[in-house]
Amino acid sequence: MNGKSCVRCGNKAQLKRPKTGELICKECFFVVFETEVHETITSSNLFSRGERVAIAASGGKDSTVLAHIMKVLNDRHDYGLELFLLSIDEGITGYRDDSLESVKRNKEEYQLPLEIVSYEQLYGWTMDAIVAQIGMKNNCTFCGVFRRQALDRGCELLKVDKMVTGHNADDVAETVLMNVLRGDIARLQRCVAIVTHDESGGYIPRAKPFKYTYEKEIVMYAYFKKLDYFSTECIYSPNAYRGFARELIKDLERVRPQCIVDIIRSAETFQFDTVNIRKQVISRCEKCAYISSQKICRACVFLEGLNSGKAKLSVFESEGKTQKSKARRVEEEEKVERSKVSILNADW
Amino acid sequence: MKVKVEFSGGLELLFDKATRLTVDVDEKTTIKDLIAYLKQNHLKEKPELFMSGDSVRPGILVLVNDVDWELLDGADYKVEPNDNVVFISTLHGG
Amino acid sequence: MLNHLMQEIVSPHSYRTISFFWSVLYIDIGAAVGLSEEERLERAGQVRDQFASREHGSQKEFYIMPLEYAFRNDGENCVEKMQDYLNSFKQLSAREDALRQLVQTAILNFAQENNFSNVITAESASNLSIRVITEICKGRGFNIPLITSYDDSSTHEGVRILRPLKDKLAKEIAFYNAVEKLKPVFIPDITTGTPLKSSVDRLVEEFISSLQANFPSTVHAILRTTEKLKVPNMQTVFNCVVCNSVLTRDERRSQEEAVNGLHTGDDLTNLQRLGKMSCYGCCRELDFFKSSENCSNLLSSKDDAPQQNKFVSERIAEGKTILEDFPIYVNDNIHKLIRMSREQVKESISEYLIEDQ
Repeated sequence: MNGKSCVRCGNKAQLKRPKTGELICKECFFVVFETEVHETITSSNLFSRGERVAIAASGGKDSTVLAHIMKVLNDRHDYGLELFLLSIDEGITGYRDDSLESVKRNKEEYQLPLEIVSYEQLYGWTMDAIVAQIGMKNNCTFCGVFRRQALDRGCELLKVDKMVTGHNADDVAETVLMNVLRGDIARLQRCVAIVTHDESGGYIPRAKPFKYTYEKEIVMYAYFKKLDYFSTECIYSPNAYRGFARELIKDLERVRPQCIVDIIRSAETFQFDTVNIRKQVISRCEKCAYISSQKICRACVFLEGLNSGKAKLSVFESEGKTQKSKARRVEEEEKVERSKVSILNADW
Repeated sequence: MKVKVEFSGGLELLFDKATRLTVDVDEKTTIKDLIAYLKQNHLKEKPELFMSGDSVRPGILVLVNDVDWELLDGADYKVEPNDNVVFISTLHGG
Repeated sequence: MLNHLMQEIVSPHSYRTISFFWSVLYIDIGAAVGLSEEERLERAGQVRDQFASREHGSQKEFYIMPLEYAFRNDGENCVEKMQDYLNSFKQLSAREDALRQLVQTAILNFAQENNFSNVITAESASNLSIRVITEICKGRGFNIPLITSYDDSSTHEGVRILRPLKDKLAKEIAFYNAVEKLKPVFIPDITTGTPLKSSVDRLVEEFISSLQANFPSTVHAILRTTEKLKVPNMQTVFNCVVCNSVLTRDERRSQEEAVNGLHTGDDLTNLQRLGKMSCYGCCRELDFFKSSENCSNLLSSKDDAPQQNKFVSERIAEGKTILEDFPIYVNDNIHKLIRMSREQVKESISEYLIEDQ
């Protein structure tokens, strides 16, 4: 017999909250989970009434719970937001086509308009075709660059003011550690911001309502709410981002659950010497007018390579270029170190 | 053949506080074999604090006659008679 | 920390060519890690011999500071008191943190009381990079630049900490010691012999060591990151009352509130108030003080307001002054803080009065 009772209501406890270790019943778990996200949204002033907000929806657990909770909170607390689902179809047979089906079901269930932007319509290439040409080596680099731009294009289509993503506390903590390990100060500063935006309005602000939400709790919430999500990993990159740092986060969580938020807290209190952060000069890509720090944006460079069949080279060149522009600012010695650090990058 | 082995930096605690041993091993024994031999015959507790896979745990320095083993084929180095193999933990608290 | 500190400080020859007066301080943590009286004496002797055996050794003074000194009090057994204190932290990671703070404070307090202007530590690049990550994991990111600087010239009330070995890898130091036939004295820690994944410090150490084995620039990359962070301004007496770290603006505000909210005759010392006077990291550690392992008392999602810890106070037995369990310096810090705050208030009033006349 389980005689443990919920710390909030005294009824029979059904789970132990991963974040706090509290014994709690299912109903109270829903309440605290939703309340915490609501508090994050209000205390950070994430939205203003009347805004159009795109929910980046992949069909996976984080974005499915995000779509659900955005809908619930918008109705319950009358945020006055107009919500949209935005999905990217990378063109990966056996993975994205299936996960998009679950996004489509979410669209029906939550009655939210859905926009699907595909790599094929945007770039003329599916990931299947890209992998067929370049193999499995740099495919994630391509995909990342393309997705980032595709999401922005989708936001433009939907004319939204903001986009929310399902990045959770574990993701943020992991990114903090990785940026400390790589010495990437600019990213370190950016990665804990709950809203990232470009001052010149180059892209639509992105917000992370799950910044303080534990991955385990998202999974539990989805499970107990019986939410419909797709849990297969990408076939081209199983275990993507489950590198060293992720493993450490999971181990740390086991010995001390509070570590995850404490890592985030640490990064929030870092003070940055502005001298050390290179200011990105943002201009527009000459080919596609997307924001870029170079004349031609990375996506266009990749595309050019793909179209002329020299894709492998273009990944290399593009990385070489950023390396060079950085190198101009630093001393010779640091350049060497940087190239060493990029080995770390490459592996993660 | 006889080979001398030393432990320090807290590793001695795993070997019944022995700071030095003389072991008798076959010809063509590599450091990797020696590590396995030590585990088999002398390690008293917590092998995970000494070994990782079939080598030593990262953070343990191995010197052969005062030379870093990384300059000597690492775990594949074949020990020679009267070699002095030192295992030093650089890890906190051993 | 301590063993690294002591065992490796012998190595840098260069120091002997510079002429200044220096002494050796050995913090004896033996009672905290369960060594017997004999073992403690034996180790202290070994450490002393280690230093005395160097050429100029005879000129140096050798001090032994038992860690339990921070708990001295008339008629009480300070060894037991310290052990009770450490054991009150119901999690290995928290206990480890408490021990580290005791050692650090012991060093600084010794230096202050005996008019030493500098403390030289043997912290290596490897130790420091591990320390950086553990402090990040414990929510003390704000103070990290102070941990890793060569010379934290922002003073701890007149004492500067110098870290001449901060560029050297633990491996290089161990190699140096081996080649120079130096025999470092091994001093166990509370995690000695515990499983690999038993505490935050152990996990991080294992993580960094494996990473370093695969990517030899790891340790230095971490330290370079910290060098790009702004060093917090230390020109304040209003530090964390437990670990003495510099407070962020939020933390300082909460400390101020806690002090200003005190009335004559108040119990200075419930755990909640202590938490409010501490940094975020220490406040989190206090969650494990005399609580059960299941950390049921953690903060809710409002982590940007760590001091609003409503759970902590409920755990305090009524009428029991929690501060009695803490090292004496925590008590001193609180009293100093209160005095300074009152003086500050008085000063601001008197200024106002003068202007008014």
